[in-house]
Amino acid sequence: MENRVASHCPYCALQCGTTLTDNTGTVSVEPSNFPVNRGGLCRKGWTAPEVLRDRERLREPLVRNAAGRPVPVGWNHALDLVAGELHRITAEHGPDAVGVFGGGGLTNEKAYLLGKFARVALGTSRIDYNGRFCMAAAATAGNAAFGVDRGLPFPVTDLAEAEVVLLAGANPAETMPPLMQHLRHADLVVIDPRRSATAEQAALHLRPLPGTDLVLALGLLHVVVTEGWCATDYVARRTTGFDRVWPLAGTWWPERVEQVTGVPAATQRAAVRMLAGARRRYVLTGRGAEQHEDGADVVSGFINLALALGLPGTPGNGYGCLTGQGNGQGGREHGQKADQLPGYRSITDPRARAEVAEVWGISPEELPGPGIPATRLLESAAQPDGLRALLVFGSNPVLSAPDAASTRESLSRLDLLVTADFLPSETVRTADVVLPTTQWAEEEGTMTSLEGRVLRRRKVTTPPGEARSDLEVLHGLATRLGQPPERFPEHAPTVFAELARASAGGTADYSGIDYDRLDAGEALHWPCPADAESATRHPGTPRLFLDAFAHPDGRARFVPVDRKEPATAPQEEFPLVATTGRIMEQYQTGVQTRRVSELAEASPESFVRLHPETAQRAGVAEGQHTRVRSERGTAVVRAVVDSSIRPDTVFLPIHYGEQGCANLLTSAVVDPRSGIPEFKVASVALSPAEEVEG
Amino acid sequence: MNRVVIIGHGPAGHRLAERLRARDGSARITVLGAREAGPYNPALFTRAMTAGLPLEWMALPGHDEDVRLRPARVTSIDRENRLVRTADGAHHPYDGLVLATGGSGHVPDLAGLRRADGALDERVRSPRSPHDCLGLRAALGPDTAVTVLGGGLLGVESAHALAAAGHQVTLVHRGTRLMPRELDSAAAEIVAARLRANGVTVRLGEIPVELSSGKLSLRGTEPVRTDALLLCTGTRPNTELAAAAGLDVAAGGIVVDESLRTSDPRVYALGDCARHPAVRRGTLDTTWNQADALAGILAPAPDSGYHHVEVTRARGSGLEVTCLGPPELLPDGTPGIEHVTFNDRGRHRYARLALHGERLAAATLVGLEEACAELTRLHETGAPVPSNRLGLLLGLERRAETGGPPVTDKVLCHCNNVSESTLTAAFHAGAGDVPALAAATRATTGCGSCTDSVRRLCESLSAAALPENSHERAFPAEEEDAA
Repeated sequence: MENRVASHCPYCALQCGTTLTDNTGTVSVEPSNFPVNRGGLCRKGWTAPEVLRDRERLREPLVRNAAGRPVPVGWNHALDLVAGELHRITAEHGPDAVGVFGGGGLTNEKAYLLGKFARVALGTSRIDYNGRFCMAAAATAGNAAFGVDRGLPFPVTDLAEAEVVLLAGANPAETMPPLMQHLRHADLVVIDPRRSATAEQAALHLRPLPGTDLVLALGLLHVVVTEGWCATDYVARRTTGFDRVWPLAGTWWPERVEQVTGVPAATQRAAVRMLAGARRRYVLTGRGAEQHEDGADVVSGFINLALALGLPGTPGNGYGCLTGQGNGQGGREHGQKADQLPGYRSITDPRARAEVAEVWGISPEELPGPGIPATRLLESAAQPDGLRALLVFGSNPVLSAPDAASTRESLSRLDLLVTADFLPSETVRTADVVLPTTQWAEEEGTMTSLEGRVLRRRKVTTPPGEARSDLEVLHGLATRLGQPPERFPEHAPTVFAELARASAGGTADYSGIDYDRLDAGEALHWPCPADAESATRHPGTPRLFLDAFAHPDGRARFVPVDRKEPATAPQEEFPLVATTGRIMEQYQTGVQTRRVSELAEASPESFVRLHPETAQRAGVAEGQHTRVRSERGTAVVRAVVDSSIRPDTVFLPIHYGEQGCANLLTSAVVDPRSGIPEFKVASVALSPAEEVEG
Repeated sequence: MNRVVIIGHGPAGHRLAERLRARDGSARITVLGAREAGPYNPALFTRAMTAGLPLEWMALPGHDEDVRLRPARVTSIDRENRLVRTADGAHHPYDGLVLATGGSGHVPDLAGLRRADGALDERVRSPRSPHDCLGLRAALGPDTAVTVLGGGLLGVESAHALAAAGHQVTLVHRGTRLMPRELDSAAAEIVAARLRANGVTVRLGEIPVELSSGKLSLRGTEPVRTDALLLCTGTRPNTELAAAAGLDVAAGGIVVDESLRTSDPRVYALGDCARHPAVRRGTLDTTWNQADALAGILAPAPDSGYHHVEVTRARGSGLEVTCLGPPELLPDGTPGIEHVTFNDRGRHRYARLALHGERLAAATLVGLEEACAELTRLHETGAPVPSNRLGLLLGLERRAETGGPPVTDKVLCHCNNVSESTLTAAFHAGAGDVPALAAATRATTGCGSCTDSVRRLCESLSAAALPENSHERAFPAEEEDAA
């Protein structure tokens, strides 16, 4: 029996359209002619069905027995146990002793219900998610500048008309390959310390030392103004705050920027001339700009540049963030973020609290206040008045959080660690209770792509064993914690309808969207408010800001940013800078993709990429196991020697565990504005970990 | 130090007040000698000359209101009682005092520069004054001849910027070598060549005699047509207050130690008024780096000293001059130093490196954009200099053997790891065009950048497979037999 459905790829935020076919239990995938991918698909997408039938799929709930071994138990037993423990811990230590950790891969419905579960069923403020590790800096900067954060405030397909695109710390040729077909006609200006696959295709490549991106952004703005490219009319009509931003950028002339960033002054000028001289141009940021201890400032720096050139809200031009995770956009809108309620509304806004409380059938006073961002949340497990229990849904913080050794140590102090997942990730392996869940092709739901379009994920096959949807898991736990069953529906369309209502009037307003409209193939980008008065339904908003920005005065804000105190000079002991990032064959912490034979064969293990000069000095040869040491810890990985990287910089991918975990090297320093950790700069030293063979 | 008094509100005093404020919320900062408007950012002054950047856009960032700005002129420093007296009769007690009095442009003794009342002639302007720069801009017409007097760094930068903006510029310099404090004669020749290529008339070894109507007379040679004269004849440190207060003062400025401390341990000096043992050529960068460091030294928990790195980087698109480290290491025969020289007169490019072992001790670079950036980093961090010197200077991609096996079967589609042989096999199995090859192998379905190569491969395979298009078709039977 064959079953075919239209759906989307389970991986990144591009959410390529696919057609899934289930042939007696075996699922295959083909790319569809969806606008973002137009028949394209990367290797991860092509091989995604292999993850469905992985032999290590979690099939039944597991509970660690007295001997410390996870043993299968029935759902009732597992849920009773978890609910009982949560009840006890809450009674003894208060609701904030229980934490919830979500993920940017969860569907909108799951993210919404998870936020509601934390605030209503647990009464805890302690919820955050792995998106904090991803693009939180861009979210903060976007909100500050535009009053709204939608990764791309225009459809992906608009990029195809661009003449010049500046990619700041983004490598879509590897991380989002089908996006590149939209960039084929544009001259690319790529900012990346590595000669990445995207940089290979660039008309101009700027190679800053990791951690100096803000200075580079300030320098580019300096050139825009001093060379007379500033869109003064636009700045006067559509923005505020230029007069506070310019004096800061004025102190960063190109030759001074060169000394800090290592980017030649002439290259900076060339970049600005290319960008400013074109009629249709975009500035896009990625993780390379965002994952820094000053990440929000870096993104603000690039948004300031875009505003000075008059790009945002001008047809054919714009600023955007290339969101990473599959539902990285929707995941940050529905209330699994520490400071947010559904509809991308602030948990401290009395009106938002009242409206959401009404939808949830509680009083606003019962809603907890803002929680703490992810890194602090995980750290608090080691503190006396911190977390005693943590529920992790669709995330692998043991690998993805910074300073992996400390994270693991903190989590080991918990009384109770519960994970809801479909594969035995590194976090699952340390859990006390494991709840097996469904994944993409086994469930219904919606995802919101990087362009803010709401998409339907459809079920094509049945889940293995006793795996349940996260919605069912939350329902089971909530009812055991004394919640009325109808308050936590298990049926995705029902949850979506409630989510839509709860988002009404918010920034990310979904109230005009329903499954029928999506199933009829409508392309709906939020905001899409319900309008009871009107005969025609709201068509959604593919392009934001054409008339006004989302601040009350309708203007965009320049945000004054400058480099903080210069970092201390590189220490003798750790003379190199390690930067971390992604490779084509793997996704996130690799829990899914490392199991796919074709991907594992291509990229079987972690590595450190280093320049031949650097390798020679460290006494390390190609393929040799190499010790990479920072103040935080040591990773042991194979050396990949080539000249695509600066001699003062080494690169490690984020997708691997054990000794190859890149986050063994990173520190838990976070950006004060957005809570995003510093993943892109760690001072390290290299040494050979084995004798050279032969 | 809770009460910090800063004398002078130029770029040095401004920056220090700002950084100290950011570091130490409890510090009571008073800046004396502040003006009504400004201070202004000297890095933007050439832009005022050439592009008319408005005055308000040249202002440095405003201070937070807790920084107390006092316009009063300082009359004396009473070190015994730790207070500063001002002309308005007030006195300002301090725990720490910082002299940021800057320098004054030197006006040479040249006939015609001053009017009868002693003020400078209106044609004479200083590139250190934003008002003069804007005034010059306003005075420049299509035929205005500008003469830049002085061939130091500022003279070179100013002449270059004015010429790049299309103005008629002559640079008159007494010495035979431009930027004599920074450059050896070979480098100076290259810089002069770059200026000339950019339209500047460079006149070296010329002694100006008199500025008169429309011209600047030179000793023993043709005068230079001059409608406006830009004075780039150096600065003198403002040390009068320090000297009157009995602090050690030398020819180069107020004497400070490594940590910017004067002969009185409670008094510091920085920027153009100070003479630091390691600083040979002060620049705006140096001043600001000193301000950043001094904020750390004055903060309640001092965490840093001042580490001077000697870098002079000329400003201006296409000038590309960088001088690193002490210039006395550059001449031949310096003990313990290995030199590398690159002189490309034809393209106005020059490099001279002084290497101490694997470290870069000093360098002069002209016209080498990539190398300016790379070598400055190496100089600042003390990182070892790569062995491929030419690649380093010319910014060549330094590819090296990666040690992997030689590539025998080229991968055309990197996104889906599809090699030429896989595509060829698919073609022979019936996938005769790009869409069919994509369906069979997934090639081109990732980023799509390989589509053209796959199409070319497909075309060449088609051409080979369609024998009726080939003139070799004349003897098919024999070939088949032979096979």
